[in-house]
Amino acid sequence: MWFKKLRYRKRQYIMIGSILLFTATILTMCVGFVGELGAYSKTCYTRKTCPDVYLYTAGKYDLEQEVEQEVAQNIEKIHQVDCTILQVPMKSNDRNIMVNTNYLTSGEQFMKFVDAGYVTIDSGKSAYPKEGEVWISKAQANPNSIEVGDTIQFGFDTVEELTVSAIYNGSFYTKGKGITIVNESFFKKHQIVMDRSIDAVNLKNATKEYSKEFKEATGVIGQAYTRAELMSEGSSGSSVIGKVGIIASGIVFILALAVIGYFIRTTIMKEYKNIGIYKSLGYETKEVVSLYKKGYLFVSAIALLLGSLIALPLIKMVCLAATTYLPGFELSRISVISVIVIPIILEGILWVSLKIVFKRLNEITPVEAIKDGNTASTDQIKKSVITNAKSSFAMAINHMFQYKKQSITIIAVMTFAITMSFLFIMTYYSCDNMDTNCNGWFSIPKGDCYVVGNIDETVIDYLKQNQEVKQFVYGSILHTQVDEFMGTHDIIGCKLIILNNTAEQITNIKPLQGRLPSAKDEIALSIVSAKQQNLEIGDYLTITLNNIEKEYLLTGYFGTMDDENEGSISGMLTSEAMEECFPTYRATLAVITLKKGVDMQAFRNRMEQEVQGVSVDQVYMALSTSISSIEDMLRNICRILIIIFLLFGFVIILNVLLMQTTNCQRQYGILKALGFTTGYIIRQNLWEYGILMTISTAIATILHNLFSTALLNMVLQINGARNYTPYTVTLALGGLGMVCVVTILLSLPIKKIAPKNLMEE
Amino acid sequence: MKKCIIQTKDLCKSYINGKSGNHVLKNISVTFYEGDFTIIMGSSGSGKSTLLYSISTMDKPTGGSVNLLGQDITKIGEQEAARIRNKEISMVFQSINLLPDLTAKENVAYPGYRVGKKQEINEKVDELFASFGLTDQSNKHPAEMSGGQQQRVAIARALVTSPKILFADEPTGALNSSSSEQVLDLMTEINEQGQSIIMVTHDIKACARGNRLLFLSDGHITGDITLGKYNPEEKKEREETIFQFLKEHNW
Repeated sequence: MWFKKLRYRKRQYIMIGSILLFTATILTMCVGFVGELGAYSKTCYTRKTCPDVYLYTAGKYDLEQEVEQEVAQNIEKIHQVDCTILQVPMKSNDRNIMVNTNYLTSGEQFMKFVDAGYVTIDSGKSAYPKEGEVWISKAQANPNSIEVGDTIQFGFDTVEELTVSAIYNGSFYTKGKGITIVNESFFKKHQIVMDRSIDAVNLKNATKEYSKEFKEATGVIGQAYTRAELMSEGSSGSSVIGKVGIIASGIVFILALAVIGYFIRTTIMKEYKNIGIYKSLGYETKEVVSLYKKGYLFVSAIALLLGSLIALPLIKMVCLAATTYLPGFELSRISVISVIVIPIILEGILWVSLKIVFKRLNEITPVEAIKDGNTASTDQIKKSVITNAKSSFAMAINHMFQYKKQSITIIAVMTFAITMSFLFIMTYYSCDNMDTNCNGWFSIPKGDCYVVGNIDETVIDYLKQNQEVKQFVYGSILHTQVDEFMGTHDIIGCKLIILNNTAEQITNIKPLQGRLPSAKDEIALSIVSAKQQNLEIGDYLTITLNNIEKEYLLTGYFGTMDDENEGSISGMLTSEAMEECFPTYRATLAVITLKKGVDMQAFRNRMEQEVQGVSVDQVYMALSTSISSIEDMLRNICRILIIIFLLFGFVIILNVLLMQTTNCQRQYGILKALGFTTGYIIRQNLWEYGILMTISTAIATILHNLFSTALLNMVLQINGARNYTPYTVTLALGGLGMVCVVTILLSLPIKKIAPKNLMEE
Repeated sequence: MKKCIIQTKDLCKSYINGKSGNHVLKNISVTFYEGDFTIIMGSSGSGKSTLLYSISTMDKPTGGSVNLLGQDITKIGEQEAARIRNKEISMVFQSINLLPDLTAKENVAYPGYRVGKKQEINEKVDELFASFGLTDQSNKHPAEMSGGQQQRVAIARALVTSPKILFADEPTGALNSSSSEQVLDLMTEINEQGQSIIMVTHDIKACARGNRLLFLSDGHITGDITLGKYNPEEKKEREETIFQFLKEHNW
């Protein structure tokens, strides 16, 4: 009997099934993604694929001789790759390949890492580069659209052009560092000496403490990165997005339950007469409920399982996007577990929801139900808002108010779908504009152009006297060793943002809490650093830099996506504070805001001609290159999430409209019998859903403007969330257009159906 | 000489379901006249309602022609059909089919607003309600009225546009005898005022109200008698005549 009912009410079950399918897909995808990424990070950074510590030395050292005996005794194995820092620019496809520090080594040297299993060749040949060939990392290749077979020009006095023969991936520290591999002959030709090394060190005791101890011990000879730091750096950004995705899919599930509940309640109301007949024939309530429940649970089980299975390739797609610069991602059993567990959980939740919805059946008496009319409930008996209504607009208004619950459900569903879409589009836009919104994402001053080089008195005077410059700020972003730190955890290094002026109107940097430092004995910390150290605003911290011990007042927190890993802090000091610790300190960055109407390119050309030793760019290139891989990855993930959530919103809206037009068939038949045309009916529907969609968009816009920016900033611990009105307006108008088109398409079949057939239930 | 309002020629209606077909109306040629109260009667499944819907633009015949008020309705488009349903004819259904969201007054006025000015229609609605004894019901919704009251509202709705023909499909089918009598009295009254009515029924008492009776059997019209004007005092004799007629046609 329940199967017959399922076949008879095919359309409704298909609608419910499609909503559940999408919900399961999204939830499984997000959960699977976060789980897989976490698991992958661990497998990617095992001892087989990643040493305990990478050490980028400042010279050539015998490591075991340089460190204390105790530390040296813990060294199990070293793979040492000799290299140097490339001093000339690299160019490909007419663009400079920008890297903070570009290490150059030979194929022979680099094969040590390949043989150790720390490197995989992503594409191209695996034999090391011949004369005329070059290997680069995927992190350099992707942002610059370089493929195997492309050429790279090295900016020597005579330009040397090499062909890319392979692109590799590895567990290296990728932020701002590149490793370019050439043939041995390249070094001889250009008289380049490999004067430093990259050491991949495996320790006998590779616990976190011992790794950190090794890192501290080698601080004088280079920059070390433990496996834990590399793992965290490799997955943090995408993991955050994944977690946002889980929250969003949780909301999606609640939304889906609300819509399905609405569908089921509407069906019950339509089935009142039949339910009354069942009861009058002697069926108990639980038997009647069972008839309906079996159908819903059967369809939902199939839909949820199918949806979860569809999520499998999506999990792989999103994870591949998130691990673009890491070697060979493959799905693990975590995805399989997600595919099995999530449908079971969702089915259980649905079962409970059905129980709540079907509780109503207990209240229906046979007599009440068999009585003519759609329902025995007095809910629908409402007065018309517009009396003497004639036009389709007036009838639409009356219908909306007479069916308030239904209208509110539709508004709630659409508002959530639109708000989520706005949120993800804002996330995408914010990720896409990390470098131009560096003040929000990285607490680096925002301006029209960035001058990099030796910012001495000459440059400062030039900028002060230049009529085209509205305002400017100068300073540095640098890494330095910390000699001593009086905090909760040991710190051996810090990344410092040094500015001569931290006023918000000049830098456009807004602190997350408190204020930025304005005196030489003040410091601000990144919120992550402060939390790691259990420091609060108003605390005093003693830091020894360059053997000069000083006490600083913690004035506030700032946000940055470029936080240092454990063992380091991110802070902000004034230039005055820096000069006290480092008397020879000089600024290396100036951020300029030009006056209105000044052409940036012309200003750039003039300044580069008139001032020696500086380069001028529209973005802070060092930042731009170090974040290009993160930007790329986050953009890809956001794109996938936006498409899926928009599709889900579309499915929900389509199903709601389908349900509505199905429920109103009889009404349409009566209207046609009274002489109203299909055009009139379509206009009435267009008015109704157009108004509901407009109200939903208006509420979504208000919610978005009130909460989305704060929510994203709170989740990412930055001030980088940026709204882009053209995107949201396009989405809103697109959504309205889509609803109108779908309404028309779903209403058109009425034209061909005779009034008599429409009135038949 | 009575004026012809509907003329059918070889009217056919079939329902095709997969490979099989159900031929409900088979080459029906019949004429309906102005001012008549025509009853279409027949056994269950004989095609009475199908004939009614086919000649009233509510359904499209599969063959033949139907000339309704000088127009072949088998060849018209949806716009023209809607115009005819709104301005020229009207329907009363067995299941009443009032719009549940509207009050009685709104149900009646709503189609009227497409035909005349709001004020005039409102006045006409008030008149109809007064003459049908429905004034107290005007602000109630269908769910708050009895079946008889609802059907009288439906008849008022059918008359508000001053149709040339009123079609009724078993208007008393869902009503008790008392309500049925009220509805039939109403219909007799409006017919006496000149309203052309074509009604499908299987109720002999309802049959007796008509002045012409068509008998439908297996998709054909097998009987056609004229009864003359209805006189309540001759009700019994009339019913007897009808009963004999039906008996001859194996009803």
